[in-house]
Amino acid sequence: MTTASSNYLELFLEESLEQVDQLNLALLELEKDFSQQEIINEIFRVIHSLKSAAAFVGQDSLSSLCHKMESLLQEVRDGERAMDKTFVNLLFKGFDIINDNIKQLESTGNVTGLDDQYAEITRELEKLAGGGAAPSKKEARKKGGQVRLSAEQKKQVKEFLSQGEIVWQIRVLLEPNTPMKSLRVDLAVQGLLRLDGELLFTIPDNRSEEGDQGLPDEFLIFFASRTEPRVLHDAVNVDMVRQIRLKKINPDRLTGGASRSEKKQKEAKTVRPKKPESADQKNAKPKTETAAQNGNGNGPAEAKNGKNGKSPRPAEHRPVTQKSVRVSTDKLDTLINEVGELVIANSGFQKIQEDLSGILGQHPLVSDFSGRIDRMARIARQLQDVIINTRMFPIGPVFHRFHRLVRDLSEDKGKQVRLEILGEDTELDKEVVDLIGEPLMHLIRNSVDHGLESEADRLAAGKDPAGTVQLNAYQSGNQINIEITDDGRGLNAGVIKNKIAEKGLATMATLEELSDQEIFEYIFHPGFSTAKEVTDISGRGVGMNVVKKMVDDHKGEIQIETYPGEGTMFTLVFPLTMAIISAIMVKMKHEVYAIPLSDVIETIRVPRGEITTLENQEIINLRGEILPLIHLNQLMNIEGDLLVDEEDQVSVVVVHFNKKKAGFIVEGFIGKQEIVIKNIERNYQHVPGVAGAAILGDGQIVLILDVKEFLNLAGMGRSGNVEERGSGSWSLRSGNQSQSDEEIESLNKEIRILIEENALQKTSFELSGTNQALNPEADWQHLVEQALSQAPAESPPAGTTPPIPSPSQGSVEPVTPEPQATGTTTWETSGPGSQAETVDEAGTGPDDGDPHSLLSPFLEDVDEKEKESIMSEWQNKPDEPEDKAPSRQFAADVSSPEEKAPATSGELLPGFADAEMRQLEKMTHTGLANAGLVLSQLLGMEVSISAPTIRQYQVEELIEEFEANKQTVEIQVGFLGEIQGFLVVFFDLESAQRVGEILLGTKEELHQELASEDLQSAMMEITNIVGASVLNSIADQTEVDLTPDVPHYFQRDVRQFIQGLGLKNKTVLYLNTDFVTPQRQVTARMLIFLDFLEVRSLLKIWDEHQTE
Amino acid sequence: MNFPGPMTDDNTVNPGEEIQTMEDQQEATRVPSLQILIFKAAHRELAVPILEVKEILKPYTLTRIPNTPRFVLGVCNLRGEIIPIIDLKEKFLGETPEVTRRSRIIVVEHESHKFGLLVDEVKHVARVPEAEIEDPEKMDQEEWAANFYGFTLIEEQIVFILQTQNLLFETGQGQPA
Repeated sequence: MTTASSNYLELFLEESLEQVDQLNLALLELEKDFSQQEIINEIFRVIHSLKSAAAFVGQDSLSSLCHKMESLLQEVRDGERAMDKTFVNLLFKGFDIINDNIKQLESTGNVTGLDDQYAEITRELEKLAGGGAAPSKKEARKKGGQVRLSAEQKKQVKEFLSQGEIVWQIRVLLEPNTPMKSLRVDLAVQGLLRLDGELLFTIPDNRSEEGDQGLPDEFLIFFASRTEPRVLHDAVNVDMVRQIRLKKINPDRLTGGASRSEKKQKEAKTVRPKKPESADQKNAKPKTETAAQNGNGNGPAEAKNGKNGKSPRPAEHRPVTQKSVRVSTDKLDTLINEVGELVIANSGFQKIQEDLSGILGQHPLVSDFSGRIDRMARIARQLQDVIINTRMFPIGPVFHRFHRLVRDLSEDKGKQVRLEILGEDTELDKEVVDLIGEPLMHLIRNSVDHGLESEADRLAAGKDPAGTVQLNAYQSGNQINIEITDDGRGLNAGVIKNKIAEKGLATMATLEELSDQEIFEYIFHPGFSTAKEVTDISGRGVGMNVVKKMVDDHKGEIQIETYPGEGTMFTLVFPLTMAIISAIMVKMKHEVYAIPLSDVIETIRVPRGEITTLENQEIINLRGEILPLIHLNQLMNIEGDLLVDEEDQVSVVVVHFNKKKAGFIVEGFIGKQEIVIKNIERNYQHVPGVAGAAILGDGQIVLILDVKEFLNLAGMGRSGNVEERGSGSWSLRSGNQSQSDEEIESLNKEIRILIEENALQKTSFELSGTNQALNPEADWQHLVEQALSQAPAESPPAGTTPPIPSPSQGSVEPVTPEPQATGTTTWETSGPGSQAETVDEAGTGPDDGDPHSLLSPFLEDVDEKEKESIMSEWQNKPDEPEDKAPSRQFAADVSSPEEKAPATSGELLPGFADAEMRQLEKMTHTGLANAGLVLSQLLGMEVSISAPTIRQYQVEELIEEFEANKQTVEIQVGFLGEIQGFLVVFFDLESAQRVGEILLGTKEELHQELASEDLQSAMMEITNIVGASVLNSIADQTEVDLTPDVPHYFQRDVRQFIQGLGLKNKTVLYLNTDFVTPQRQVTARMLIFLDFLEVRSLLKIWDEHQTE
Repeated sequence: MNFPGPMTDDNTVNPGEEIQTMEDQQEATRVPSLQILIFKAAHRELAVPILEVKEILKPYTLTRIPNTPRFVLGVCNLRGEIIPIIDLKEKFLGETPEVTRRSRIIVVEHESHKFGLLVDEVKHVARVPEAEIEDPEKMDQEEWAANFYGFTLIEEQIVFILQTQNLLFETGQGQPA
């Protein structure tokens, strides 16, 4: 085997096994009716590609066997040989050898001891072929560059010709011994494809994955193009090409030649031209359909090959190559992990959202936020579904593999057996699909061997002489069920009992006490299987316990249902996926643990009085059943007594394990949750009783209990006293944790005193065991709280936040007085339909690099020292142990309004650096977008509101912004709340008129007179909508109390307004946005005057307006 | 167990920031030497080879694992990966861990196993000529040798260089000489 080919070995192994399955399946189908040409073709194709692939990876015996089979099949295809049982059996035999070969190669890396078998099968094949050497392959090419095309290829050429295309036959002769011939051909073909034209096919097929050794030096490329021959010539003239000949295909000759050449082909077959068999030629592809169709050869034997394995194969059916990529499971697992992280990270947001709504109540920002969070979560979950789905494979191919087994068993045992297959499209985790084969084989063998009666018995029992074994797979809830059902005699508990006793697995006395179900489970016992079965057929199986083990290993279970005389059904139940599980989260003291839902029967609460002690084991009577109780906290080395709630009840998780039940006493249930299993062993080692860990939404790690192991640790029935067993690893924490709760408490007290003394430097440290778990939630509250009351109180060191001129410093230099610069991006709102999208975009605005986002002071802006102090401070608060349990309550406390108070107006918008104006823009952005939507709906037309720009203006510059001497409708809305300011919306008179037409159906002439009261109120309503939206969005983002006042209506020259401001030579900050309808029927402009240096003046003017 | 600090990447402390005393770069190239990160833990100056240090974090939320050696404080969530955290004070001295504002978790990786060491203070990086590293066998307690690569003298302080691969698992307890 060459080095290069070994790279392909893995691919070969994977594909070839599929191909063998496919061959077996097809052959079984063929056995029903030998005349099915289509199936013969399929077998031929698959054998052919197997041959090529095998040669490529150096499996010469395999390749040559394929070659011999292929030759014989070719004769059948040519009608020179009839398909018969002998041939089919020989093929089956051949496939078995191939299968063994591949399996050996897979497990040991090389093949030994198959030579005899190969020799034998070769002899038999040669005998079948009529003695002598197998016929050599037909020559693909005739002398003189003529080539026989398959009917299909001819059809293709004809099709092109009939469309008036010119089809070229391009003969490319490579230098002898050219390395990488297929690459040369590819290059030549690529060259052609760059030209104007279409590739029909190449001979040999350039798409085949055959090794070079199988390729001749000469290629034919059929290319339809009107390009000049010279250009074509140049295109294919790649490195190592010796000769190129172009030939135009003559339509007449092709048509005429079709039947002729076919006839010739037949003749040729019969005559069998004696060509010397060079290596090249031997492996050269036949020019028949195979070449063209070879690309299909890789498709796995798709499940659809006849439902229940007996419906006839549709004539047009052909296994199609699935468009697929082979990806290593490692990569997939990484992907699954990462997406799991995404989902987790997202649920973190959900938690924030809950906390925020706890603080902010029914705030529009909160609902906006939660809407988006939901959407994100949805996307993340979908992504997760899709990716988890990539691990899912249909079980069909596995099921169909058993046709062969059943056939062989059936012949072997002299029983007629029908294999029915249902649910073949059901998808399972790849891991399970890969491993399910063997257990299924044992179960099927069991069914045929033991389940089905002999034909005579069946007839005597009035049953169909042919027995049925049915395979079925289906999903129910989060589980996949695989059923193996036979219509045989059913399990006989008595017989099994005898056998158990015979094998010495249990005494008859014990067995008498067991239920039938429990008896049946003995068939999975390692010692139960008979030696005969072991040597039978599989030759390496160890019987039903293989089934049990595999199922156990994959967190599955086996159910047995049997009806005497009617049959038995084994059901294997697997979790849908291995990566994510549902778990019950339980609380113990301050720790949280996850118990996989698959292990849990129920959760109950038991009055303490009902617990009794039996032989040192606490038990309860659960509906007549004795349920041993295990103190999970003791096994977890959490100090403390029985955990009882206010009603003197204990919480118990009832789990099952090997059909036994036990109850874990826990402190409380938190709920059910989907968790992604993470491996602890990866960086550490196996921890007894711990199956893995999961990371919750807040980043907290929760351990997942391995119930089975835990029950083993607990001795399943003895008191969960850990030390008793004296295992080294168990004596650790509990021994050291001799500190009682009081001691820990006093330690904590000491720590708290230290903290109080030196609050900003010293941080608390809680002792192990009194722990974590519920705090992060509270931490969040603190974080938010800190963020809200943030920097001013902390007096951040210089350089951490942008310099903020205090209001008393007087006016700030105008930063960018560019009145005419537009630079606005138009905000398109195209009606309700696009709502989601628009809102979404608006939402991204405030997030982008927003320096004042709630958490940023902690994550970016604050320097090391400060961060530390902040952290320590927020650490301190939840340190009161009594505060921990009701953390929700605690959360509510810290979010009281007093705590938020520091965010007052004066500090909030103290100065307007450029960046801050951008921020103001963003603040208003969402509001404007929403307003646009509402207006669009209200007015029944698309209203675009441009993204706002905020500038600082000298007042007189404002005048230039407006057309002078123009009457406008001007609506002012003052602000109520902590920020003082107002916004003004200007409509030109025409627009106002049109608003009247649209909303009221009246036409008013506004140039002469004031608008009617109806129109005025309509205009004010519009302004109100916009104003409220904008203010809401500012309020949302700044946490200031800000609501719009009643709007005021004016109809006057803009100049009057500006002059009325009385701000000559003063700086004003204004937010400018336009809103425009598509046909410019209505245009309006909005200015927002925010409280700044001129608060007093503005207020004064505003007051004046009000009194006007 | 609750350490101060949220779980963010922000916890990562750039060793460059923390360690300003990088020195003797030129000298380093001449003799075979080992670059080590020196820190304080268990009342000693200890060190790990810098090549094994992945990052330095501030202590943060930790989940206890029951039934593990006491010096395994628990596991931390390091960007979705679960890494065990070892307390050196507990491991070497059997003393209760303590976290101060100077405490750090040094995340080390040995043969693709990642784990964290809780230390009292990260000091600086130094380059030690191999010749100046004393054999751990010279230490008093034999059982301790397994945990150490060797020791050396830096600025008149004995610095014990840890053998990271053995730290995660149980070895003898006691105090280096």
